[in-house]
Amino acid sequence: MSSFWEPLYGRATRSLKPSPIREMLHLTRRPGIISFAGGMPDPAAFPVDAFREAANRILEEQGRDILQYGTTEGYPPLKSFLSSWTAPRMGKALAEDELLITAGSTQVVDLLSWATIDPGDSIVCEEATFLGSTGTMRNHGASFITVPCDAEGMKVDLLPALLEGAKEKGQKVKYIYTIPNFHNPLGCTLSLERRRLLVRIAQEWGIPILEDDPYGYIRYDGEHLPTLFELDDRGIVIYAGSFSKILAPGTRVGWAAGDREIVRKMAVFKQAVDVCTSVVAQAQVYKYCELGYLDAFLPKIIAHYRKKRDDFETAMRRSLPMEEVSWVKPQGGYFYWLQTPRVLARELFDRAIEKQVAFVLGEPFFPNGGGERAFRMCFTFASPEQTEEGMNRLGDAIRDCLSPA
Amino acid sequence: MSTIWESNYSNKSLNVRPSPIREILSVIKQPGMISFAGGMPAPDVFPVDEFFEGVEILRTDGRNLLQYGTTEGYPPLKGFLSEWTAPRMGRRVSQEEMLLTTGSQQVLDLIGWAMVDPGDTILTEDPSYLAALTAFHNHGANFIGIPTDAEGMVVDMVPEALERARAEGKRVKFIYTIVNFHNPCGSTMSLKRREKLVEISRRFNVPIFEDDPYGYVRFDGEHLPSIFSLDPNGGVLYAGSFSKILAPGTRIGWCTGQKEIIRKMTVFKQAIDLCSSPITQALAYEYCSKGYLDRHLPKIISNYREKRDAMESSFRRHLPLDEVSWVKPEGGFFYWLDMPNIDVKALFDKAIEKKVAFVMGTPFFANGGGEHNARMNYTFSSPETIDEGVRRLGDAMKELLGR
Repeated sequence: MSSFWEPLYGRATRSLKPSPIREMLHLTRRPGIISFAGGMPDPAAFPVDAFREAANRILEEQGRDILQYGTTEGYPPLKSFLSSWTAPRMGKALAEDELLITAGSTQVVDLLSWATIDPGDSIVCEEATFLGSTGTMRNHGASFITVPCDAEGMKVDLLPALLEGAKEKGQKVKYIYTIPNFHNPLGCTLSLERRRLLVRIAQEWGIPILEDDPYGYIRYDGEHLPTLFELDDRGIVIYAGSFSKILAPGTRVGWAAGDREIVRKMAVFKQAVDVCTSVVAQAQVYKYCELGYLDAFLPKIIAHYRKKRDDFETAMRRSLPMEEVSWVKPQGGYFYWLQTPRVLARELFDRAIEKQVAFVLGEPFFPNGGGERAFRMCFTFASPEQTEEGMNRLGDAIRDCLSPA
Repeated sequence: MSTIWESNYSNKSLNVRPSPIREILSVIKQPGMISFAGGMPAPDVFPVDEFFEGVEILRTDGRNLLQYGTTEGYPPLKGFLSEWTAPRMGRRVSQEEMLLTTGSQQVLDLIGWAMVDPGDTILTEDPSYLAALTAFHNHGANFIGIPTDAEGMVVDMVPEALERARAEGKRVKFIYTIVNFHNPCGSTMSLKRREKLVEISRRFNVPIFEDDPYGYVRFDGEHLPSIFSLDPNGGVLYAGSFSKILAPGTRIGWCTGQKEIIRKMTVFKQAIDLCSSPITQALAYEYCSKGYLDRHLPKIISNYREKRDAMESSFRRHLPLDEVSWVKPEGGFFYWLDMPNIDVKALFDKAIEKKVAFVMGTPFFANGGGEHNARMNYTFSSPETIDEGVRRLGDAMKELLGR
């Protein structure tokens, strides 16, 4: 039966791998399992009533208009809201044609990849990075040049040598993909000094930057750092933002900000990809923002997750063998990245599942290999009780790995 | 300043074509312009109140709907569609045979991802839907165009075209067809040709992509069986959309096909937008499950039937009938005018002077053609506006013909 389509599959389909996380998530959904695996927001933090009110209000005011096709570039009121709301972070109020509304920030990666990647081209990224993004780039035919990271994010000083090496091998680097704030999965934040250096290197080499910042507004401690977009004066940075973490992912609304020329190219590809993002969804989000709920609820969302991070940190210190595990305390975002130099994550995973606790292995996050002794834990989803119990189980599993019975 | 982007463009980017409707957008927006160029529904048919009644679902299921949804789509809506489309599909399709998408445009992109390598070939009607040609072109496709007549694609010409393509070493990945109320040419493929096309598809082992955004918007005559329903072998992918039967602002479409190809497309969708908005999918489901879809659809159809009839009689009243011909569409959104002695570019310029706009035929042809064709949309304007616009167009034609 399948023979009809299969012999005709394209290259991308023949090399398409089901996401290892998806396979793993299957295991983590078994009853009784406490899961730190997924990267989802806590539904308890969703401002459901405020959003519903916004949805009702927009229908009264704009019902007919928002049921029509929208412009590919996005719902103009939402764009002008974003232009002023993001101005402190972007260093200026974005012009209408420097902003494109997208179907979540995932689509920013897809559209930029349409505009830049030919099969065989290279993308520079952190040594471990968001799987969804590398998956998208890989579908477009990209391979990866990875840069080691530490607590201050990508070790940017290694970049020139890597770029030199790529050049010698004839690899064409199309853009540098980075998650500067509260990295997924590494939890680290790129320091200001490194941000400056990264922009300077990118400018010197004539290589654009994709600054993926879905977590940027979810900061628990310290001050916001300037975006790469703000530090750059030559229009080489495309910034990707999202409402998934500051409102709710079910809206599927994100945005791209950048030089108007590349934004225009991305919009032309978006025409062919989905015409426009749901106007209904964009207008609901707009009304929510315009009624002041975004600013009113964001501190609550941040406080909610800060508490969860702190509970998680406490539970880890209480239950894990501290001499065997290390991590960087994330200043924001969703994730802890644990390194266990004497324990193989794969082995730990099996034992953890036996004990009914789950996480995500480090390996799949490394596009060029690595991460065998590391894993990712999401702290936003589990309740405090689950966190405490899950951490007890995980501690036992680590100890079992170290001294097998 | 901008060279850093230019020097990093992909080949696709260097070759990408913006939609010609966007290109003429500034012209269309001139004050006083009557435009038959777009392909938009009339906002006055939107069931605004009924649709937004669904917002109440946020009261009971808000936390679930604001979360990430599954890539495959909101299960209740899939369940509804399986039931609702059964008469057209010949059976109830299972959940694994259906994928909900961000409009049916996304189906075009996803099938491109799944099937098309640069240099591959797709067989289409000539002319064909512009945004489909663009989506496939972006994936690197070439096209073989098959002429159409009043009964749709001239299917008899397909075997020879496929044989020739094979002899030339071309890899034909699928046959793309808009069976009902074709965009742009307005024709509907006859039952006999549908059966024939399935037979050819099986003989040559080339699957069919049946794009059917207008299928439920039929004004006259009986619905014909979908190609999907005529093929028991899983060789047909069917695409449908809520844009024309509810409203395009929802951006909800779907595709139905053999579960292996649906699964592949689902994995690509993960990388493209993760999932379509569960909120809008739930609103659409509420609308459908309360019976509004079935209750309201006849109103949409009769609104557009009236406008089609208005355009038909305006044509007969104002156009030089010895110089223009068309097929009266039994449904859908478009008339396609054939004007053997009129250069459409000259007509367009003249029409714009007279403040009426349409889309020229040329971009609908993948390999050239359409210099004497125009596409006219009738769903968006009122019957009065249609008459005035067609009068202006008739004047423009007559001037060009020296009358």
